Amino acid sequence: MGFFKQNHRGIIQHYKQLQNSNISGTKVFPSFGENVNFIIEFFNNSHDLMTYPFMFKQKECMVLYLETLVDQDKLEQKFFIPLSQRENNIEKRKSFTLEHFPNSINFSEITSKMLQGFAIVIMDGEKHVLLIDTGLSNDRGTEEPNNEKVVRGSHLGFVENIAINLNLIRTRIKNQNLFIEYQTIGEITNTKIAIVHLKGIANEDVLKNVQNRIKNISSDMIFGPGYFEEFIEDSTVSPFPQMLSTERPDRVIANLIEGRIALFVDGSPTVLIVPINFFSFYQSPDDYNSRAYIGTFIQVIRLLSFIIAVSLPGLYIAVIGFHFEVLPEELVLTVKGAVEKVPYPPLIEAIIMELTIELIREAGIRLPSAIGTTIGIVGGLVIGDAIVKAGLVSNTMIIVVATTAISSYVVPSNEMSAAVRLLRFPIMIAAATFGFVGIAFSFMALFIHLCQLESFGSPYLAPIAPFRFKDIKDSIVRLPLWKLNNRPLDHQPKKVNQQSSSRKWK
Amino acid sequence: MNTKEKKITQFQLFFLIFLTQIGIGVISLPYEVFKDSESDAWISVIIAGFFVQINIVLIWLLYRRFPSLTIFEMMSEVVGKHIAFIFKIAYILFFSSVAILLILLFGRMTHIWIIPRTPNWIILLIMISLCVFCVKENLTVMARYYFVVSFSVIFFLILITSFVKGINILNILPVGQTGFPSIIKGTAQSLLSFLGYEMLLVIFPYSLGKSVGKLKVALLANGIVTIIYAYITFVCLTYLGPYVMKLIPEPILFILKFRSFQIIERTDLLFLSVWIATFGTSIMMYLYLTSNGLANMFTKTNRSTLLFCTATLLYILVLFIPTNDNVINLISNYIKFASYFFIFGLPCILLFVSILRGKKGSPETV
Repeated sequence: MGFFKQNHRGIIQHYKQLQNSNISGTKVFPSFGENVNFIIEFFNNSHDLMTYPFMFKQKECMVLYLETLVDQDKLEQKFFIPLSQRENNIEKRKSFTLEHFPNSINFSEITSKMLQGFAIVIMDGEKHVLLIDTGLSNDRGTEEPNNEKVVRGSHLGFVENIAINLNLIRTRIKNQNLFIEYQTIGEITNTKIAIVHLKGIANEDVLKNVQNRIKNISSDMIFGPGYFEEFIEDSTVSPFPQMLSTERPDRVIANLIEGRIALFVDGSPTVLIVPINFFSFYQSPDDYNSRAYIGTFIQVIRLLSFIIAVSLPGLYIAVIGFHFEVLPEELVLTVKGAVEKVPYPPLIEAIIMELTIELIREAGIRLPSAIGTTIGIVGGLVIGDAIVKAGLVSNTMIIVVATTAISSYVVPSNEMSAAVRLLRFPIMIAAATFGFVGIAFSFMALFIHLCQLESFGSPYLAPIAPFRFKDIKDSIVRLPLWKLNNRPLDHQPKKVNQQSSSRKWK
Repeated sequence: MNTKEKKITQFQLFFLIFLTQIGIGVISLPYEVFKDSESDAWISVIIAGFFVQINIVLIWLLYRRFPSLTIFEMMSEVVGKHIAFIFKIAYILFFSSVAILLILLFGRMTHIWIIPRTPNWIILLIMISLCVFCVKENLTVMARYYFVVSFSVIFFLILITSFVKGINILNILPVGQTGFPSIIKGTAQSLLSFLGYEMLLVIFPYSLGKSVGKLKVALLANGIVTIIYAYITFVCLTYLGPYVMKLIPEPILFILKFRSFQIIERTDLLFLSVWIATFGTSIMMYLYLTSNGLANMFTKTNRSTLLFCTATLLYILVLFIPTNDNVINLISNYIKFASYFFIFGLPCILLFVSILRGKKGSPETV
């Protein structure tokens, strides 16, 4: 084993040399040729590294850039056209200089800029290298995200480019206190992430905690928020998501103003929001665009859907398997009649049906819509009359499973929906083993876990546990907006008041 | 006091006391009291609640002299290390025996009423593991959980209130017919159901706020428990009448069993399943108290390790105790007398000794 370990360490060291080439402290060399060679060597003679030598003020100069990262039009506009004009037109000769471009003397900065799409100009006899921003970006439009549609309100969505995403936020919060901090993680991919918060509202301790956890990440690549999430979340064994992911700028803005922190990852339209509580997953921007009664009604229905989705199949199994006497007389005959023809215990029946639904979902989700419809029709046959007539599953079970499936998709957040769908399997098994006691035990375990869970230091089940009556009006029910003068306190914002009486005119 | 422990608010303290007191006792309380004071049982319950209030004030007076110490820590200050050591062990044994009694009662209850054919050992194993799962973190987590569970009490009260229309007031008239001695006898019987407030001996220093506020919270919690108990006893007495009460050890479940709600029959099953969470909170608190005491004795070991050991030990013990009525009655009788000593007697003695010797703890730091 010792040999392997040593060998392994050796490989890592070798790799690190290859990776960094230890250029962090290297300054620009005095000689022109040395500089050019260094850059070419650094990029391993990659075929997309373009060089263009020219003379400027009788000095030898060279432009270097990575063809695959650079927008040719931008480079023409910014550099080549002014340069050629200078050569042709004597009047303008004095006006064009290269001084206005930013410059650098450090090779690590120069090369990292080149990797971001900059072109560089190396000049003979100069101690610095000029940097010209010519980054190429090809982005899709900021359309509404498919999985977070709203009826009323903004239809904007984030895109893959972090700069555009941050622009969407900055243009909507026109305030000097909006603070953006960049960090680069991923040792090979060098992914840029941004930690965004509002100074004076977000809690500094929480922010420090976030920064510290992100600094600790040591990974070769960061390809998406899900990947990144697992490095910084509090409990990795919990089935519950501890960060809210959204693709909607309005949602991010509302959360920032509430005093939470948003994490942007370059290359992904999904933004993570921390710290978050359980009830935030059950909210949608739509609630605040509709009237308060309707908003409250829908929110309560969503929370009810959590209980139904988690417990209904378990409850049914327990009643059929253990406590038939719970059913009122009129129901006993129908249920008993339906169940008696099924050859296996209710647990097997339920698991077959639940798995079928999961299969249909999984099959439909990645297929083009034309085939997706077919899956829907075929699936409808399986979860429907045919399977009952075949005597494989009872009628009542179909109803239970269908209700559960609908309830589990009510959650506006995809992660929470997945957690809920997963949770009902252990509860089904507990119900099949211990009846009602099993369900009681499962719910005890569930709630103990929820009480223990924290998201970046703020309790997950707030405002229920720890209880804060004032916060219920914005989490479980939705009171009229003029009632919500104070922020919720579960994530300890520094500024509590968010508005004062806006209906003074009355 | 263990400074690592995060302090709980007074609001949370309320629910800790409330749910530790309310638990398995509720179910047989009306019957137990009825045995002695018959149709005046509800008066006995109120008197018992009143006694408990006095006892809480006593515990608070003791706490006020040592505002930052638990009972385990203050004993060595008051009576010296050696005697304190014996008392500490006694307290730990007392708390763990209450835990054993609660676990036994829980096992018997589920066995008789919900799942008669499932072996008891597995139910108890799951229950104890869940309790350990909750208690292993800290008081804050427990307090949060207790709040969630308190909704089951509301559910219970709604169920009880639903059969108020069937009561017959004549069943308890004339008031005071059994005479004072038997009412007091019934009071002694009902004290067992009030057990749980003795956790204040340990929990007081872990809560935030002024000491007067804490006393108010404790009195309020016990007051509400008293009202609920008296209400339940009253409803059971008037609903069933003295002739039926004699025969039924678990009157609440009995009433629920035969009451139909149109969409659901056998409400007792549903109620007991919800009530399991409330049983759990009482067991959790005694496990916490035991582990807290042990952590005070073995300062080098982690509290969660000690908790795990205690729970395992208790589980093994419970497996060897036969769950028949004789054994349970024996244990509950023993605990009844032990509780007079540990909850009333010993704090009294400690208070007097500390006054006589002029011992006082460092002033409260909030």
